[in-house]
Amino acid sequence: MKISMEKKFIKRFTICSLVMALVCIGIVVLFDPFFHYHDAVKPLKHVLEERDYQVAGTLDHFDYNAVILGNSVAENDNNAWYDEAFDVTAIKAVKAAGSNSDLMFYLDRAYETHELDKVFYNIKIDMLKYDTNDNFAGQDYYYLINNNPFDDAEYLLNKDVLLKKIPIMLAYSFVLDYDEGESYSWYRTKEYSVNAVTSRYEPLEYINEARPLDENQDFLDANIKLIVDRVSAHPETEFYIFIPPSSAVWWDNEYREGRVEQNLYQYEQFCDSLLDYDNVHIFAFFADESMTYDLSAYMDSVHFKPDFNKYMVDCMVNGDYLVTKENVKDYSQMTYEFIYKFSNELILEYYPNAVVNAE
Amino acid sequence: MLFNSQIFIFIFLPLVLAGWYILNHFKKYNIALAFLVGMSLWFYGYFNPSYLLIILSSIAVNYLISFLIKKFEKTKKLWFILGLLFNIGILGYYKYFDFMVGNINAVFKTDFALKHILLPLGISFFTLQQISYITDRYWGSAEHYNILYYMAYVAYFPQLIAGPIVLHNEIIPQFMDMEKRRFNSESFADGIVLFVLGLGKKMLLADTFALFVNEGFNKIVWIDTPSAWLVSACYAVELYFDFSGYCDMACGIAKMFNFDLPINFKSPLKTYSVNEYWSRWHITLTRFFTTYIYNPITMSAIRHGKKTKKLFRNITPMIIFLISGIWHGASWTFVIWGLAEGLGTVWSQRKKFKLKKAWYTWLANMLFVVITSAIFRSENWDNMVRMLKAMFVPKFGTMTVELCLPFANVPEFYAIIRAVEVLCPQFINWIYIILLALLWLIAVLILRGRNAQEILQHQKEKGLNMKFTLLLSAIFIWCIISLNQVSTFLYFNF
Repeated sequence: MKISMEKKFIKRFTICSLVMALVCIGIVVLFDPFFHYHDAVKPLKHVLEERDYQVAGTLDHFDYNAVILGNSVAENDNNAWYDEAFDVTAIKAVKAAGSNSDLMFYLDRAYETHELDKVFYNIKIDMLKYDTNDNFAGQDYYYLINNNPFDDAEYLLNKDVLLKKIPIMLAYSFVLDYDEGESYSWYRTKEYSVNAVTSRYEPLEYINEARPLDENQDFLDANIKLIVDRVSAHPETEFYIFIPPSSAVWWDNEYREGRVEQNLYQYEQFCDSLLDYDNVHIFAFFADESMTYDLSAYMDSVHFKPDFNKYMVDCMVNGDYLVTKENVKDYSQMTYEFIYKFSNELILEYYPNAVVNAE
Repeated sequence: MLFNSQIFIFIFLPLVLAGWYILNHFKKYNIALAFLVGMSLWFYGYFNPSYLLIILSSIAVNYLISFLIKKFEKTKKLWFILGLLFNIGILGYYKYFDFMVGNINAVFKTDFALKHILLPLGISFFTLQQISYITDRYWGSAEHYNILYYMAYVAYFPQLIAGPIVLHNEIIPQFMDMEKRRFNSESFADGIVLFVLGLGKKMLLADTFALFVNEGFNKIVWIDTPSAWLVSACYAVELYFDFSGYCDMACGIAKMFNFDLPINFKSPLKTYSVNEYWSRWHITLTRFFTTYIYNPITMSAIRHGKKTKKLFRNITPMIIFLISGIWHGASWTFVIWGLAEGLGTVWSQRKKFKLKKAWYTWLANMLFVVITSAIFRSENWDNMVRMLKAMFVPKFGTMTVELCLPFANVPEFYAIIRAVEVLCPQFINWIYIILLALLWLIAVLILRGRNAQEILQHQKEKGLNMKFTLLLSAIFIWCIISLNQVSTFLYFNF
């Protein structure tokens, strides 16, 4: 039977399209720039530039025994600092503006496939009052997080992956210099200066009364429980939990909103619950006056130079700013005092018209 | 739902085609039509199910008007006017309420609240389609159809959202023809070709031009003269590829069902006069205005004598383009655009003004298209003035390179741009200009060549050979991979 020209065309079109689609899929599976299916094929490097798209894949397929958890301020860490200082192989599990629950989701993901010797958790002091639902469902990259193989088409047939991510992976592997430890870092293109900070911050024209300490008690308890559950379930893992500094202007805003005592109360509650565990070491870098006051080291009210990241690693090795049951409140007191001083005296150097407490 | 989306291409379209042909194969003709209507409503309500109420109410009221015209023949004028008022009212409310209130507030210094009503998808199209139907019912040139056929006529998804504006006697007889319900490989193959060519025009060309155009209008305050002309010219081309691409896809999908939709574009950018341009751009809209506004006015003028006829010959296009302008959008920029197109049409219709088909008349016509495109694209009066001022008051600078910067995110250009940035950064500006020139070269080659319908005919004459099939498959897969992109999250908004 003679097949019509059109039927032949439909058949050929279908076959050609399928073959081309399979070629695209094959290329993506082979190079796998988001490491969704496997670790990098040697000699390709671990090129990590798309944090949200790559973290889950790296946790599943990389070879490591320590993770660096945190949000944007942890992204400028260099894994090699931790590797050398603590004799581990560390990778980052970071999420910009990530909540504690987001990061615990990543930690659980790591435990699904790996045994961890150490966890380095960079937790901002205000993260303890966030909601405890993770925020992955509905994100553009959710197809890389969930276990649904059907939505992988979004990855396998993806022009950006084929024409941008794979070429950049090849370029960094064979042509350009690339430091694998600096995964997801962004500091190189930013300006760190007093001007950069003050141009992005304007003090409120009022100073509120201190807010009730237990205002966020439910979220605080839930967040602490999330961490305690992991700490108690994994006594073999040492948890280095460190609270990074924030700039004096960030604290100034908290002061004017009446939230300084609340933040410090949250920190104290957090320490009280976690210091019962031998495998937990807490470091209170927010209490470092020099890092807080040095506005020239920030690009806005919270994001600091990588020098601070390195300094914190060094301090952890030396045991500086280590919190114990005895000194928990000392750090709170120190912090409150230098914040009060900044918001009522030193701020006038940057904002001459700022409202200050006359007392 | 959009034609250029995964859910449409991989789920909706295969599902509706399979359901349609299976039900018709088992001679369940009414169920098949009901299925097509149901799927069309899913297509329409996909983004906002509440809009289904609007389209269903509109269908119900117009169908009732048609019934009343049939039932009460003597008072049919009343029903017709009521139907017309309903359709204009619904369009007025959803499309023009805020525009009118804003103008009242501006003129009378009042403070009436704006409603910020979201325009339901495709309302301008299905409303015109139904106006044409009830007018034909009033004129006696349309019958009162079965409700299922009427619903299919209005809601048939390929033409529902952005046309072409189909007349009842073009599509309903096809729905009624049971011979057409059988799978036809010739029509299906035509459908694939048109759909893929349309998809390519929209996704690969229009969307790339849009990057330059959007950047130009975002930076309109600083735009210089060469950039203003380039941005407007790019917009004219973007709009053509976008809208004609959509219509090619619509015709292609209809062909997959073995139905024919009217052709909406016939290479309008090859024309030599405004009048000719409008006979080949959005043809079904021009046809609507000609049939339902221009002709009745002209007939009325003829009845009133020769002088009136001459006067109306000039005034009617102005009225039509004014309506066309307002139909396109609720803004004074569209009014100005409509007036400009009206003037251009009246001018090019003059008997004394017989244009030669030469390169300079084509160029003059294209300059007119570019200028009116600038007006059409401007979001508000201030931007329109800024753009026209930039075009006509010379100001020179290096803005063009800056407007090309979004090309850095185009995956096809990414490797070239990054390589030049690293290896020879001193040439980076030139690379952007070369990429823009390359884009134009591709566009000009496509615009000078055959349009989608002509390509289809030409390739059929050549037997839809392997070379063409490979090219078409490549365009299709290129579009499919373009549906998925990686969003870089700009958490740090600095």
